[in-house]
Amino acid sequence: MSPESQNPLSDAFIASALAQINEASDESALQQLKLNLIGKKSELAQLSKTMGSLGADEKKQLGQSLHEVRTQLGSAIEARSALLKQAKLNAKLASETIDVTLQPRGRKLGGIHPVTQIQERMSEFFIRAGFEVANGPEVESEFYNFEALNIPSHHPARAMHDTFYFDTEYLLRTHTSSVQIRAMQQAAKDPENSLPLKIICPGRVYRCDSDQTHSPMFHQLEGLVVTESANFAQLKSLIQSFLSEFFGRKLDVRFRPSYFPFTEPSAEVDLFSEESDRWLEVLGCGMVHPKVLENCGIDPSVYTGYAFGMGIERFAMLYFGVTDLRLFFQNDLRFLNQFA
Amino acid sequence: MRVSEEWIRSWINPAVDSDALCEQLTMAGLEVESNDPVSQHFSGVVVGQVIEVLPHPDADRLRITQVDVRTQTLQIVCGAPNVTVGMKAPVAMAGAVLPGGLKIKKGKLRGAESNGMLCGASEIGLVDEIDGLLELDSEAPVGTDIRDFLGLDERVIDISITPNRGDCLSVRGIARELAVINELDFVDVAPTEISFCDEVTGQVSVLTDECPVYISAQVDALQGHSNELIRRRLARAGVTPRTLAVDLTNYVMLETGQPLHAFDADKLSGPLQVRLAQAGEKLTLLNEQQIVLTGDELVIADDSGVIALAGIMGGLSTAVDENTQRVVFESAHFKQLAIAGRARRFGLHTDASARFERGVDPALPKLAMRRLLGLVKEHCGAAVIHAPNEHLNWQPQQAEIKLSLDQIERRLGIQIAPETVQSILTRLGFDVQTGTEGWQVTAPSHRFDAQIPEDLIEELARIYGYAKITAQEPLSNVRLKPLSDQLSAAQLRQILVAQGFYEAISFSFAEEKLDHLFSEKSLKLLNPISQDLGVMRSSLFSSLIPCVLHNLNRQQAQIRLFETGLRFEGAAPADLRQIPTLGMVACGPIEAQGHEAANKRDYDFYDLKNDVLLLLRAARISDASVSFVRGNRSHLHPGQSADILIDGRCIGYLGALHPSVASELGLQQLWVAQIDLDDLYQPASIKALPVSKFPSVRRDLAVIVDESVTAAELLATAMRGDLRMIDAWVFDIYRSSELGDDLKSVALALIWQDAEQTIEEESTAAAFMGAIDRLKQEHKAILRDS
Repeated sequence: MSPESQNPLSDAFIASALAQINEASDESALQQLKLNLIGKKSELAQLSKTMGSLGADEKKQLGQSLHEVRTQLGSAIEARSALLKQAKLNAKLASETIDVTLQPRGRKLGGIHPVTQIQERMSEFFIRAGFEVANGPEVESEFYNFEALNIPSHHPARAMHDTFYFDTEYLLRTHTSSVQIRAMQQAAKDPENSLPLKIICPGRVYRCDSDQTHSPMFHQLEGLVVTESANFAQLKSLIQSFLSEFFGRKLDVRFRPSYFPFTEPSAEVDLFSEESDRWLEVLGCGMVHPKVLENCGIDPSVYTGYAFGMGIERFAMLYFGVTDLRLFFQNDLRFLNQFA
Repeated sequence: MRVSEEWIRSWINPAVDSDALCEQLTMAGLEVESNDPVSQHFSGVVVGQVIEVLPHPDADRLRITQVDVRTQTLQIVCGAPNVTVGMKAPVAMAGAVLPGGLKIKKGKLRGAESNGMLCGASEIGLVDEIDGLLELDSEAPVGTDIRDFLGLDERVIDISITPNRGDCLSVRGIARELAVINELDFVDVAPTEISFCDEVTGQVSVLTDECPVYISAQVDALQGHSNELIRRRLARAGVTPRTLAVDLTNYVMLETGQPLHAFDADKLSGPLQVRLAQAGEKLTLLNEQQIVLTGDELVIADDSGVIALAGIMGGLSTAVDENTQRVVFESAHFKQLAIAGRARRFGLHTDASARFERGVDPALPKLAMRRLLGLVKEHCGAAVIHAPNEHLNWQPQQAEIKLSLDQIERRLGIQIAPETVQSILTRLGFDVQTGTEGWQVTAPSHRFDAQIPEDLIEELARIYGYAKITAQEPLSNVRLKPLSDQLSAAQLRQILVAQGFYEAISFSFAEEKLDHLFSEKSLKLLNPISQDLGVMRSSLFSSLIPCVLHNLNRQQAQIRLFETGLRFEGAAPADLRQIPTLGMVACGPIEAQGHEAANKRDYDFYDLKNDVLLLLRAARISDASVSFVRGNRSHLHPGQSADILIDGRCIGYLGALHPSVASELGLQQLWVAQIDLDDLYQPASIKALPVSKFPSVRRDLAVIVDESVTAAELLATAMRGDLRMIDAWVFDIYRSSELGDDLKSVALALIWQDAEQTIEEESTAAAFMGAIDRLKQEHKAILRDS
């Protein structure tokens, strides 16, 4: 098909031009085609140069025809160009595709020890209730661990404590009650500014005993309130709310009379476990024994107090369903990463 | 304390079932730990009598027996060595189900028909005392269900008695509690009439105040065995029946709570003495243990020396045996503090010591002796009972305790009606007198634990019922404290966790040898749980390294652990430092499961340094105050470790474990860091500065310096005195043989910025030259062509 033999306004010419446009395989071929078809040297341009010799009507008619063809071809070229660009982009994107299912780069999150998680969960309740966290030494003297707590050297309760000793005076604390003694002594020095006292003492404690249900080291969280109005009914309320808040549901709780040398009356608190159909002992508590207040320099005729203590591992076992206490201290990563 | 329910009910029998009875005890503070039948469930076992025993033609060890079970005679093949004609034994008939679910069926044993099984004790859930059949009493009625005959459906209740309630270490004490709870009358066992023989025997001299009551009584011509009921009750309580004298002392102890002892009168030499031991005196105890006394033990002695450790255990030389016919019984009160701790000193824990350590009612010895002699009379009418010798140096002297309703309400938070208060205390045996401002209360002699009003309030609460004390919203009593401005332990953990570390909690004690890698002296425990946990850790690594090994041995290659806890510096507790410490241990690939070659490398020093710096940053410790200085700790790699300094003060260290230490421990490589937490948990405020509006300028340079020159030195020199140089860092290090072995080329990026203006080209050039000059002068640096 030669341009000479075709009228650029003829249907055949247009059809042929559109076919060429749609066959253009890249942008540069398309631009060349554009020059050929509607450029300054194209047949259309040639034809438009003849317009000067035409009469007004013919001129108008030719002008209109030329414009129509030029527009038709122009937009076909635009469309083709857009199509080619899109195809090119698609090809680029396809070549850049990665496997999004591959594992990511970099460090993975570690994890906080389950015992710490439970300790924090417990502490959060008490901190919200206005308690402060108190800490103290783990290597303690007999006085802070026993004497001040109304457990003199030959008290039968000492036998229950299986104590680690360093010499006749120093030992590893068997409970965090020793921290309470220190806090009360401190408060007694400046009662105006330190009483009422509301503290919790989380931390490591030690008993010379080791098997599936006993670890020579474990954690306790103990709490103490000393005010002018503390009583057993308030202690019950605090413990009941703590237990239901901690486990996130209303629980069957019972307070059972028991004995601790440093509280009176004393209670052990049991939770009813639907799972095992029995009561599980979870904490001990009671009204602070007047001798303990006295030992710390606090006047028991003015102040009363209540105290409570619980094993953190015990709660962790209940909360997470851990059945062997020893797992907590092996630090096996396959165990720890379940709590991440 | 273990005791059969039947024994308790023989004293007091409230109209409640077994479970309810236990619930009552538990809720009154006598915690029932178990309440189980004597033997596990089984059925179809009766009393049988063997009437014929023939050898089995095809088996040497088996016998073919004919056994009468009243309704029929069964042929049973039996392998027990003790099977004899005429004996009575339990027979599991066809269809019987034994403990553990074993079903007995008819069958053939080596060709001989066997229609059941003759049983040993363990086959019906009891404890075997011999190898063979359980031989039953010759009077046992043939055909009776064995559970009925042996009382195996009886329940045994195990009660945990708290240390303050020594008075409840007895059937009588428990019965007394049940009487109070159920508002029943408590009735003591009526004393048996005894006619004493006139002959005065066995004077006792009590040479110490620690024994206010000592009653002894001699019994001659003692014969026979304790009766079936007593033997059964003893066995249920976990006490093996022995001779009559011993059984009766045990029985009366369990019944009344008063420990008793029996001496063989024919083995005594001269009169008895109660005194304190002399240091060095020796005694062989009933259990054949030889002890050397230290001098503060109470003992019973005769002319031969010490013959018993008073209130704890008798001696072997005067022990009663099956031939004993003349006995001296002892019923005494030894003071709590004279017994406490003595048993444990010799590794002993006896029923007697457990009771005396908790305290025994001083009024009991007389009652118990009377009961004991009454039982002797019941068992052996021919016995000659001498009138007891009584040393009584005790008067009831219970404190008078003042109690008011106000005190009760103040402590419990509830009001209890005065009638109720009075009723509960009276039922508990207290003497209650009404005064103008409340009551004057005197405790009975068995409640020596009650001394102050709080003791009485506890009793009231316990019997009134804890459940009836209505919970009361506590007053908030909040003392507001300023908000903290310092890094918290929780934040510190979160940062390390975000860096891939797992928190560990390891024991605070460690193996001495391992701990010695980190410290010359460690604090030793007197009674460690085991030798590999013998000292308090002086470094967190002493307990973390075993955790690393535990994981490496279990195919865990990527180890990142940290722990916060105390480390213990010093070998003597009095001058011990207990230092809150962070320990970090890390080794293995930076990615456990990476897929890119570029990231297949192991965790190294600069990873650890970054992790440490993140913490310092979070603690708001400015970069400028931190420095890392090569340290010289023997357990660390000398070239790959550093002390961490804040303003020149060491707060910890980091680095690789020394290769020889690592290999000794079986480790390839381990990165460790230890930081004193008190230095991180410091208040720190932030002072914000304006951000410069003007652009910064960067110039790079590379200098050749000696290997020994550190990056920190180069950067410090480059920046010194140039206030507008706001930052500088090393962006490349190059070493080659052309440079020379001891030289390196270090490329530095230097950044200038001014708060007030754009820095002019000439002034940057001058500052750049200044930095180059300083580097040349101070480090003999050679500028490389760029």
